Amino acid sequence: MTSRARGSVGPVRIAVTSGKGGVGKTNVAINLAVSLARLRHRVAILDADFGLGNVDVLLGLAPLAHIGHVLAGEKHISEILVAGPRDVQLIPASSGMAQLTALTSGQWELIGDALDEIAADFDYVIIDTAAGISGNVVDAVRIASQVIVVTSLEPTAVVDAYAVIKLLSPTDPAQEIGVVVNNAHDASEAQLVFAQLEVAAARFLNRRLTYFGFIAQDPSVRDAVLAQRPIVDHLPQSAASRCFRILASRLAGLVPHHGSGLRLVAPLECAAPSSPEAPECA
Amino acid sequence: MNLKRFRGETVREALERARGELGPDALVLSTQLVPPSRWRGFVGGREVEVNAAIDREVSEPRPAPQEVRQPESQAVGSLAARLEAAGFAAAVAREVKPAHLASMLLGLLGDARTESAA
Repeated sequence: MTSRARGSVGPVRIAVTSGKGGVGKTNVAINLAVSLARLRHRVAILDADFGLGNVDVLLGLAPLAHIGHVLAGEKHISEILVAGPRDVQLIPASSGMAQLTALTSGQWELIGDALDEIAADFDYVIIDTAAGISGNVVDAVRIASQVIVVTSLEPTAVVDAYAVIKLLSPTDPAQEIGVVVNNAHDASEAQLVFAQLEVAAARFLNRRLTYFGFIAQDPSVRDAVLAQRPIVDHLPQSAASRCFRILASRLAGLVPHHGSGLRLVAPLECAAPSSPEAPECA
Repeated sequence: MNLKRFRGETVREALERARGELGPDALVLSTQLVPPSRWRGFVGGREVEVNAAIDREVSEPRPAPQEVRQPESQAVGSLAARLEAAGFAAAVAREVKPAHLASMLLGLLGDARTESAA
């Protein structure tokens, strides 16, 4: 399958992946989506963890149908869309359908076609992939024009992020791979993590990475998850929310992007100690 | 990729530990000064922490993507290699021309060592 997103007219497709589970991939995906929507973009989220979807839960939605119905030919993709916060449209996954955990290339074609049919309605499609490095993850990234690899300070997260980058590198060497460091104590910690990945990818894989920024460690994230709301809506003044807004602005091209191998200055603001909700982030 | 932290009182010591465990191809991902884990931490001492990695499934390091390989004498190649090994960026190392005297090079290497140890 070719990368259908690049070169074609339609929404920017951004895949969010991580390798390791539990680093906050889905949380990054939904908050990025809602932040883009707050910038008045039309945004859809494809929950590409088709067999074990979580996006609906994090957004507090209860979809009646899912992507499995589209693949079975029972429903049109426009019929399964569920409106979430800020009118972000969710394309839901199933929960507990093992047959959807490994799609065939034919099924991926169907998903690609379905996305093409709603292409005119959206500016961005955020693709939240499953954890791990299964074929589904690679295929989900392949239909995207941009990839965000979410990682954290933990060595396991760094190693798994590297593994994903290694897996993705041969499939499309031209595809930009951006890194977001989640749950970072401050900018320097995040940049250390990025620098490690950057060095390893350059030396071992001959692959350049782009630093997209970090999300500040913030206990409010937990509150938002428990409230089943995106933190950018639930606690917009929190440190993490500010980081998500910066990330969205950068992806939307509002903040200049200094090419690759950069040390961005903007995310420093993420760690500013001015947030009353998150004094720990100082 | 296997990733591991190594500590030592000096960069050299930490590096030796990393290479001893991961092999001579161990790649240093980052170097930091950290408070020592034991009693010396209370008296304000510092230790060097090196994050090193090895990826055994990847063959030998490939050339950088944008690098245009110019014909160069073996002397320059080994010079560049030594500079790179001493921690210089590859681009900088390759800028050094054979005209430079060996003594200068040795001086540079000495500087690099003291810099990385500082």
